[in-house]
Amino acid sequence: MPDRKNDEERLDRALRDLVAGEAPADLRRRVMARISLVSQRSRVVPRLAWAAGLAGAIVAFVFLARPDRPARPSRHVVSATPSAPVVAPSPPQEAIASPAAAPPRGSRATSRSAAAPESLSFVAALPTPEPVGAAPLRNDELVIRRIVVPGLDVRGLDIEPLEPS
Amino acid sequence: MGRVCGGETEAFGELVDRHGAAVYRTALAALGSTHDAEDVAQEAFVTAFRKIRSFRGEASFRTWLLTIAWRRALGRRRRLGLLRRRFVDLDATPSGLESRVASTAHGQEAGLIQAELAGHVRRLVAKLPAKLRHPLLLAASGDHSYEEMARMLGVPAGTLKWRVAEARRQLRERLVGLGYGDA
Repeated sequence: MPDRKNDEERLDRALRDLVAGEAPADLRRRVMARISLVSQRSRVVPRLAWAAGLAGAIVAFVFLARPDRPARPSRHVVSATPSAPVVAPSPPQEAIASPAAAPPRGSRATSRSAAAPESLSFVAALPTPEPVGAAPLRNDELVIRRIVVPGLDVRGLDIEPLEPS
Repeated sequence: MGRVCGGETEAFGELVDRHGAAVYRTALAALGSTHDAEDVAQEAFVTAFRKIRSFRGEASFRTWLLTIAWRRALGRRRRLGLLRRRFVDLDATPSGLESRVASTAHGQEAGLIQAELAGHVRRLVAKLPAKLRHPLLLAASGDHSYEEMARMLGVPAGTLKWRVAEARRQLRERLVGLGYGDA
């Protein structure tokens, strides 16, 4: 019985020693130092963030309100020029009705040198295009005319008529 | 407490003096490292100071503070994997505990026996499941009542008492297997 009591005491002592220890003597000083640091930071950080935001807003406002601020170049070419007709309007009825008025196949109405500007941004408002379009079937032959627009060079298509079956 | 809530940091210093040892030993029970326990004790006090307004008084300030310390210590242990390094690997590294026990024990032979026992106990405690190890170590510190420990660990007091007793029983059983006593 005394042995068992001794064993229990020894076990208790071993367990106590496992978690024994004194808090550091300067624990209070360390804790208070940390607390003052945290308090300072909690006061300074929001003020710094607020000041930085205010400074950014002022700089942005000054920059935007500057009278000699260069205009920002547009990324869209089309928006810088009047809208040009991309698709020619339907030809007048007389142009379709009279095949003689149509230029011969393969001919070029405009010279290539007059077309092909370096940049579309320099293309002025395009004049009204000539009547273009496809002629109706004539003698089993499909005639397609070139789209002729001054300032633009669009190659025409030559299509051979289908052999009548 | 009222002065602390009013922003008096010096008043909080008095709370540090009063509860510092218990907070430190609570962290030590979870971590097993004096260095980490010191750090966690400081963190626990800083956290308590910052959240002092959220203290609703459902438990005593001491229990609330010890719960903060315990949770922070467990969090640190999880992060650093200290459990494995500090306890399981003790076979390879001599602990300071053994020499401390040897130096304080009466008589060289008794000191050596106690130091050897301490080493075994340390290793065996490390092998206990957490739900038995945590109550055992907190109870061993002698700083906490069962009600405090129950609140800290979030279990009923009766369950906690059973776990402490069960942990001790398993320890005794394994020590007998090692030739200590006849329990």
